[in-house]
Amino acid sequence: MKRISPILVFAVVILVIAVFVAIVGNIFTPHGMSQQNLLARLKPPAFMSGSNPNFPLGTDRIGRDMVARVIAGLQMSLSVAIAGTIIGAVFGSLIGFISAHFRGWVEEVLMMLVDFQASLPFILITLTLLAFFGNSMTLFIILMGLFGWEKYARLSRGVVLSAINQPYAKAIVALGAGNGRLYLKHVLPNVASALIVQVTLTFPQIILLETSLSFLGLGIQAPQTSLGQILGDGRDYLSTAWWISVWPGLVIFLVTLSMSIVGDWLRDRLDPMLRARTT
Amino acid sequence: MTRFWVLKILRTVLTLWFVVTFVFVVLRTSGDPVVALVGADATPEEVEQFRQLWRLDDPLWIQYFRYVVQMATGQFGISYRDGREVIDIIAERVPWTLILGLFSYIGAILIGVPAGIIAAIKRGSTFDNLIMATAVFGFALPNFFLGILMILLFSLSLQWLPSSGTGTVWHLIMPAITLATFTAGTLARFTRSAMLEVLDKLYIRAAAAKGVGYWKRIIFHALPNASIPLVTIIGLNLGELIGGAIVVETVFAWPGVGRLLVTAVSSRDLAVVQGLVLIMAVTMVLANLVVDLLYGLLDPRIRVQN
Amino acid sequence: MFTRREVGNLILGAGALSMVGSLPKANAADRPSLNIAVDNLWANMATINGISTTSRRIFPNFYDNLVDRDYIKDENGLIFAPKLATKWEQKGNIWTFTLREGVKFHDGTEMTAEDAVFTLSPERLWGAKPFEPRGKTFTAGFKRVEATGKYTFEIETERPDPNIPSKLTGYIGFVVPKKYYMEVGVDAFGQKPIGTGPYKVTTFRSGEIMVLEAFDDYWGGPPPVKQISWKIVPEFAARMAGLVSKEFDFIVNIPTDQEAALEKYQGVTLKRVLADNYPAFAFNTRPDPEDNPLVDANLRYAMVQAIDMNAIVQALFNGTTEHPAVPFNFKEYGKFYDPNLPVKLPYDVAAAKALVAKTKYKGEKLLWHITRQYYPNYEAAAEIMVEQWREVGINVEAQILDNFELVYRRPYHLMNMSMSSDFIPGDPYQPLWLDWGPTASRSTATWKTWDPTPEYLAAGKKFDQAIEFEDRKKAYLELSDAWQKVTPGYYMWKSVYNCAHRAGIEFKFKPNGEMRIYGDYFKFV
Repeated sequence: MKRISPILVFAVVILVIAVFVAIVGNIFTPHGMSQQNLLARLKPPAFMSGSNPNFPLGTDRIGRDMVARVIAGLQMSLSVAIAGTIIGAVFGSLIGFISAHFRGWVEEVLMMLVDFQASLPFILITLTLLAFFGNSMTLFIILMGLFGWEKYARLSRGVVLSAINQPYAKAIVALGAGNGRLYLKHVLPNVASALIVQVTLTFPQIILLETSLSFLGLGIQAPQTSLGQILGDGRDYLSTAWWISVWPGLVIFLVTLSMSIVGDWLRDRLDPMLRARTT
Repeated sequence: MTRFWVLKILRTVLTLWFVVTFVFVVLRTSGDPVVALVGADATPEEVEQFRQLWRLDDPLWIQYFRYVVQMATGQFGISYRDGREVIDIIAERVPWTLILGLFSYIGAILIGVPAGIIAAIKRGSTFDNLIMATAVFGFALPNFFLGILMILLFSLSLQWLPSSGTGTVWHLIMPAITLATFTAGTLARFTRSAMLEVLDKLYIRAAAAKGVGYWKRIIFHALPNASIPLVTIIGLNLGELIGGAIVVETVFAWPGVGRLLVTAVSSRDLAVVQGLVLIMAVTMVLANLVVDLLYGLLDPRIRVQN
Repeated sequence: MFTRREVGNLILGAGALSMVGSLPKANAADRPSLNIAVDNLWANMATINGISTTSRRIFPNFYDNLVDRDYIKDENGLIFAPKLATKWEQKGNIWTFTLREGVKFHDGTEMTAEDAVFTLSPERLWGAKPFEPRGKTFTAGFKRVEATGKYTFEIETERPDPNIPSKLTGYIGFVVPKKYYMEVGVDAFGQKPIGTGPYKVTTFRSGEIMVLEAFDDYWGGPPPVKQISWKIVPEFAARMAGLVSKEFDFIVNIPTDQEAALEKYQGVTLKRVLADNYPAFAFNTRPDPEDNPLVDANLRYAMVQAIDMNAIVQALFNGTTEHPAVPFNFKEYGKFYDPNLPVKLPYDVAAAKALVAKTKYKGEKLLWHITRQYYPNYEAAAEIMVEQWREVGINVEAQILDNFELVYRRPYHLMNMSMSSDFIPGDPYQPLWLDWGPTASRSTATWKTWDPTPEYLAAGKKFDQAIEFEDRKKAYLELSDAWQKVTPGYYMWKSVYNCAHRAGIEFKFKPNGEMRIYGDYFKFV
């Protein structure tokens, strides 16, 4: 086995920190994420002149602590991305399994759905649905879950098809194993590695999608916040109070970067044959 | 062979019908567009006038039927917002998006693909790491943020490039770079994987064993094989490009279809949204059909398999 | 010390200055063009269907009013000057107007009484099925509009109405050409509008751009600019960069917090006006939804007393505008304004808590519908207010929605709105009676938020009929009390409009948001 590169270590450390911070939540600052201080608006971070020692990363336009904001944003962005990824992966793989299992017209119809989804840029679908049905957390999570399901479906269908055609699978069935057992014990492990790699790709894409939607005003809505929302809100302030958007931007960047590095490593590690399939 | 193509085309048509129905269902079930259009203080009379004018009072199925026929014949109707033919409104925007898209897409391919190939050849080197880090950078930076940063740097501080809008070739540079960054990053990463996979293949090793030169192996054996999955990804990336255009065109006030979509959606200009979604879908579906065709040409096995 | 070149320039400059007097107003060929970056353009440019802040700033460049408010001679614009009408006089219920002769529309036809009458006619504004139905609100009390000659016409009202000329300074006073309007219809007119203004519309694509070109047959002489392009640039960063790098001559809608930074750039002049308009919110006072806790006036009073609006306005606007402590007691109303009027519901957290305790309210969530980016700082203020309400135990969720259709969709407990105050300049008629009265959309539309009380209606009737100042002021105070007793809404602050322009321009920004690129309001220097 090749030695583990320092970049990988860095990526893993970042992800661990991000998850840790998101889980323990707001213990780093006495301020709440929506607690305002109108007398301390737009305070710069601690290392700049004019800063307020109570707010090490500065404050936003209504005097909220950036540490608290970024942590709350991180919690939301990670939750949305995790929820979205899980929904998409479960739903998509299920579709893939079903179509590989039943073949025939079921497969045709499901694959047509896949084609349909793939034929429209996803942001177009979310934009239309969010704008027309109004923004709610439920709809938002569902939409994030819909993101990338077609990729999971295609992927798992392909892997399942090739797995159940393997001689050993046929042998197991010949030996009298039920379908459930076949899929659970023999096919799923085969699919799993492919899915894990796909997850590392979908996850950062959902974070970025949420960011783009926030820019268009269709992301997470106040009083909730997300990294994308803070970033989008701070954009008018880039030349006067850069810290509002740079902190969340940096976190988005680091998380996305780390996830991609880990994903690449997993892909190389788990199955070289997957490289071309997962995109 | 013929069956393969007939099936492909049939599926394309069905997919499009799906899209049409989806759009119809979404747009007609989500609320009353009239109030949004006549404004804040509309009187009931005003609302009524609009309803009749746009025949929103017909039963839903009649609207649906009328609508499928219209879409199939390319009549996208009239914009609620400014009373012009949707097809005209879209038509005057399409060239702008095409210019921007083409420019940034070619740029992305010219940068992304060679970068990916080099990274694969020099696998594990600092160079590889550097290219991949840059690729992820392009991919991980939200493009509206990159766009605004560029405006602040190149238009406000340095005053080298115009800040927004159209007019000269200079106007194209920042939006194109913003849009291309993401695609180039994805392409580089993908090319690298595709190349690595091919380089691992037995026939490459066999060629090496036979004494075929290094560059010869790369150019004549590896590249053609790696290009097969690459064609697919380029086709699929078209969607991401359109998606990116929605944001980039808004940042740079570029008068393309992405910007049009944002304004049409927020003012609920149903006819325009329909037209845009359909045209984008048709573009994507056709592009995928072309990709399938190319794929079939590049790799005869696909035709047989299907 | 001057270098030779500078001396040369000075001499040239002096020469040019001395020649100004003898030159024709502006020479068509060498007039400069202007690029103006705006945040948005309204989809329709008809005078009434197109009412919005984003169109008002452009309107006076291609439409002319019958009567003009002169902000040059009077800061408050309370001088009514002739524009398309040169004379007006009142006899009882009838006003007679005399029009300027020789005024041409952009299509070359002459403006006559026929056009002015059509502009104010029932078929266009106040009949059974008018072309621009919102005109009804502005023409309340109209009985007859008729031409009495080629250049004279009469307006007859139900009761003597001293304010007709002031009303014609607003949207209804923009004269449209009857023949062209009827030919193309109201919708097409809104896309290709024609007026008598100093510029004519040559291109209009609502999501993108509006181009105006000098109309050299303008009755006031050729305008100073050859072509004005109003381009939509949604991102503030791009507007700012474009102004600093001189791509744009003007930009509008500068976020308050960025004003100072923008002003630091060389050659950039920031203009700010207090507009005759108040961002506000309405309480839904009706039992719709059925369990609406806001039907209890005490809860509404509590919410008002919980808001520290002075601190919010100070923080968000750096003292450039004010919160009116008593609604309708606005400074622009001159004699009606009373700085010592008692504040019935001042900021008082303890009082607010006590009021909440008197109600049956148990922390149910109240929904506040807000239109996205409708007024500068509205959303920021909302976020602060939501916290201040939380302090007194009131749970409000501000929902930012894309457009009014969504805002109007029930259920909601609070709703954003903005109220203009200048329909009758110097008189509280619009915010107090026109906008809340029995015919206002706020009390009649499907999304109405209150039912005027008998007390309010009685006081309103008196106010509407009062003509003498003393009677009117008394009636106004009574009406205002009746409104405050219900407190169906809350006025937040006087709007601030801003814009910035490059060096070499002298510009006066009008408080109604108009950006006149001609006359005494605009000059190249």
